Amino acid sequence: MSATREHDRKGLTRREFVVAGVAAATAATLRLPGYADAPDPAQGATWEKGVCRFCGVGCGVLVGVRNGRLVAIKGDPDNPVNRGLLCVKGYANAQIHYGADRLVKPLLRMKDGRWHPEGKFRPVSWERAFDEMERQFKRVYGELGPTGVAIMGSGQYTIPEGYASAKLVKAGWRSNNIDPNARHCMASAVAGFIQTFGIDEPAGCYDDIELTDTIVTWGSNMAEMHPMLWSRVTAHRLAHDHVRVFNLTTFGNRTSEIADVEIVFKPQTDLAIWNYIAREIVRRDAIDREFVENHCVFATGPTDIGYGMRGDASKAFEGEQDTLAREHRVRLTREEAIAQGFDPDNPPVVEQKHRNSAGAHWMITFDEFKRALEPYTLEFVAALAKGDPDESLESFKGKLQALADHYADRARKIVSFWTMGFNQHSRGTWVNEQAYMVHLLTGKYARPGCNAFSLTGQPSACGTAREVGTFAHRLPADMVVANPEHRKRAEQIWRLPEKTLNPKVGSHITKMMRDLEDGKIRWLWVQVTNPFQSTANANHWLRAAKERDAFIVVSDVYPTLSCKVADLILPAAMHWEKWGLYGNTERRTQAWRQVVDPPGEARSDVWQVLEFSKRFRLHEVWGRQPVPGLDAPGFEPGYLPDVLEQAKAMGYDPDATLYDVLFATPEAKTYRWPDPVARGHRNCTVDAGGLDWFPEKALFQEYVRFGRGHAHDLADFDVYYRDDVRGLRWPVVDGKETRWRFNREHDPYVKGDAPYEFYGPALKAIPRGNLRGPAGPEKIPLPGKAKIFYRPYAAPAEMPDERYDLWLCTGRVLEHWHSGSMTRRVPELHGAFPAAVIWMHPEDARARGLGDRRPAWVESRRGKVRAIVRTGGRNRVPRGLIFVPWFDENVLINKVTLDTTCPISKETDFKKCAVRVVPA
Amino acid sequence: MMSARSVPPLVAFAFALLLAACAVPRTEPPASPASSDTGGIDVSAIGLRQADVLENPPAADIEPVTAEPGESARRPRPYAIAPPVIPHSVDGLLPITREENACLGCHDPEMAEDMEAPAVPASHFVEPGTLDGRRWPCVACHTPQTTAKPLVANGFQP
Amino acid sequence: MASSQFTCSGIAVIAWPERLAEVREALGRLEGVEVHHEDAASGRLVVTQVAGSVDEQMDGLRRIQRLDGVLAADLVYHVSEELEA
Repeated sequence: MSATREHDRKGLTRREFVVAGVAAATAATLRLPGYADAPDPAQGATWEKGVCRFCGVGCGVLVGVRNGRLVAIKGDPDNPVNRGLLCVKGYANAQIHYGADRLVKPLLRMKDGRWHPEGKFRPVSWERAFDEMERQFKRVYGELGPTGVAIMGSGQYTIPEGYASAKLVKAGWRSNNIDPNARHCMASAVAGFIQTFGIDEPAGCYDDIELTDTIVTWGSNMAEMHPMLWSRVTAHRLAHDHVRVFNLTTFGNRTSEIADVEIVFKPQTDLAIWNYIAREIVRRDAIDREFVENHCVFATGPTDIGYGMRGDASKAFEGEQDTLAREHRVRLTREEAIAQGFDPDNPPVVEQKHRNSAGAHWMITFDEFKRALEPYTLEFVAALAKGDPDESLESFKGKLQALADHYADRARKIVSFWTMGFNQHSRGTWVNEQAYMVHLLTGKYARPGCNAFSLTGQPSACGTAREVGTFAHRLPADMVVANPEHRKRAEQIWRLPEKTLNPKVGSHITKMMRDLEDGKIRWLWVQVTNPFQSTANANHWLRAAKERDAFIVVSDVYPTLSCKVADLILPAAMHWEKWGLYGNTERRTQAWRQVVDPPGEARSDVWQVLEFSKRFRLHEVWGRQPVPGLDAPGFEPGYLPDVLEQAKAMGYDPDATLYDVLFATPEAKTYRWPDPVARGHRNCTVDAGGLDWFPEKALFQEYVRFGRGHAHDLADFDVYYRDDVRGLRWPVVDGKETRWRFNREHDPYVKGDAPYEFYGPALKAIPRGNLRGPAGPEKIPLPGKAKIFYRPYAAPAEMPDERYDLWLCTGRVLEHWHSGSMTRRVPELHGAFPAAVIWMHPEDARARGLGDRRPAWVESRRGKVRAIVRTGGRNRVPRGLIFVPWFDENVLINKVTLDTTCPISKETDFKKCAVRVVPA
Repeated sequence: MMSARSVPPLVAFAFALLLAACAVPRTEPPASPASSDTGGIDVSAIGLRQADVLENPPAADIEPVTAEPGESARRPRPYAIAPPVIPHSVDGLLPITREENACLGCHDPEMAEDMEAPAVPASHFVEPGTLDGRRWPCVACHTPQTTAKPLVANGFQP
Repeated sequence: MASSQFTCSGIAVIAWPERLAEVREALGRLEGVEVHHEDAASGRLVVTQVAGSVDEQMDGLRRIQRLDGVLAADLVYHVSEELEA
């Protein structure tokens, strides 16, 4: 160590002593010397298995730990998902924990020693933080009841976290206002699964990649967004000459570069392209008749379903009114008229009457189905869908034909992959259903190499949000709050009095923001998500958060944009600092142990939920509660009943806390701590709570009871922690995982002799009808069947016009995850992509006085942001469209996007709205 | 000369506390106990954005590294087995397509010594001469860089 | 007897390795700033900054961050005392 000044010790002043001490402390903290001389991390480091913190691929990761710190990351060679490889974000799994501004203490807005909505943030104790949360909660709950409070949850919750939060909200507070950011991610996929198959999640698995002949990516930039799956696709393609890869996209991207055929289509015309393919399959007699006759029925539903926008315009900005008007009344475009069987020279104005019953559907005959497909000729669809003005119609037609050839070819196995292009779509449920339509028509489903594979965005949108049911309408294991049988089952497992659970669906995450704006939700706890950056039409919600009388708590690891509008920020433990399990896209549940301690006073989300639950006594929540609009058999209209008498009869003390009743139950406490499965690893939940039992395990073991015997079987907690296990794909029956569901050879739940059985129970009785509507109320049961839906082309809510003349599409880039809160704090990732940009065609740029790296405004009816233009690089947008990633909180592109959702799934369409771009 | 072993007691105690909290460097000074309302952290001081959420900050540029291949030094890696970043410009070298991979033009082990480029390591090959097809999209793991400064220091240590 | 506030920060500076010397010189020219240690391989310097108030510390930190050749500068440690003049 060399100092730049020599000191005579006796002559040092107080100042000099202090300065020298600070210098020494700083140097020791940084543990110089630098990287290049660092010892090989394998020496003295222990390696622990786990899962990547980032995308839905769910790569296996080995983390190196030494002296209580994370020191290295490598891909787990024993994990079949990625077999030792990781993408650039995966390699940053350790570094993301060490950003200098980790939240380490609760921060409360205060003035004069008390909470004040405009106060500055001051560090407070956890006790003080919960005091304020409790005070504010009870004020709101006392006035508004269960509908006035809400939790915004996440597809990045671990399974125990999501389960604890859902149980607290539903069983404790009797509210259904818990909804995850996965609503913005996978809701349309879920709705597509439930409508078509009666059960959630993909039939196949990643093994399909190496077993197929054809891979089609639709609205999925897999090269950047599911990189390790893409590396498997690439390897398969390079090794086999007969394999073909198609990329269907609204702009050229890295996925196109490896694909054989790139098809650039206009936003939303995917609906038309699927129908063209279906029409070709019918026309060429390429239907797998046996499969369709034995296992499928045809169905359709209403088309006048609106766009999921606000029903009333009172809160709309002036400029938004025209778009919003389409929520109630739509003059069809020429193309819609043709597609939907109306006179194209006189397209009708259609009242949107089925906005609140968009998911309704009924059976139609094959002849009706065929008739509906008639308009989707190559001529019509090519003209409608061609997305690149500089591509010839002939070229585009050729590509569509090639695509149809590959689907129709009986000898060709095919896997369709999709992500946000299909899900974040104002007809997202429809386009998901259409993917199944084509795969079911051709019998190319639920068998090795043949799959319609919805790719999940987040690491545990499947494992937690969907399977645990952290949604406004769901309960665990595909059950729903509206179904009395389901509620009864949940009440049994949770040992609740009958009618504790609320049958009225709560607010989905976009609606929570609208409720915040309307003053209907006045207490909000945000966990593991950044909704004020991720929700479309953000100017509304940012203003609401700042101006409304609402108490907002954000639990996170770093100070995010949402923290800035919060009243209270709670520091959370991050990934390797807590015990957890995630479930990935292919239904693989994987686990990791805590390997390092969280910093400062950061605490696990499980601890936070359990600790906060101590603040509620049964008599405060299980009395009669108002739920405006509640209308269910056996319930007083508008109210949940007092269940305290029944609670007493069950042996509960009305003074018992929700912690006692929901979490620290006698059964939970049988899962002792320490536990041999821990192998000496710590548990920050146990440490902070001073517990002698194991909450994460207790929660998981209770949760698995929901799914067993119901085709959602998970193994016991300890199994996932075994050294020889790298996760298991559910249903796990008799210790064996399931790779292809609904297929008699692979799925133990297929009972009969038929080769396939679509045994999902939901929505398996529907009326008969025709293309215009159901014929009557009588429902015909369809056990074991899947539905082939006819869905028409429908135009988006907002399209480019003279004032706003460009399409805006949003999404991600490889190097950054979501809102950038973790990745932007890693030097290599930030260095690769430091700020969001506007990808624009060079001619579009030139025409607007712009060029590469010139600053510009992107503006819509709803707001505007500034960023620099890029006319080159990894994305090649066609003329007429721009693409902006959303990771950069300084380029808050969601101020510009439109909060239209699929009316069935309530998932926001982030992929298309109308903007103009001008020099800044 | 002052050394780490002879720091005054007050500083040593605070230093020990800091290390106990896993030695994660923090940007905000801990609130001084003597202050009342003058303490407190303004919202503009936290996170990666200074501007108010309702404002729109000016556009930030992206300046790619301009050094040509062969003219740049290897960057230190965060830990020994992290994939190295690309320290040179990739202008004209991307995209990697089904047929073309410009990276291998210099980094293929057969060429690397002559090109004075780091060779693609053995870990990327199924057997000598046969690249693992999964490794073909180099940019999934190796990223070109810009001249951007880190927004926040990162205390990760290998 | 007058007393004044004395604050001292420990700041971790990361410079481009090839510009380390330049950054060291520039830091040395700043009021109240002292360079105590540097590591050539990683471009890191350990710096202390003495100032009156916390506001002055924050201004000084921003000044360091804006120096050419500096990648990042972050507050690692902070001490604040009332000292007799």
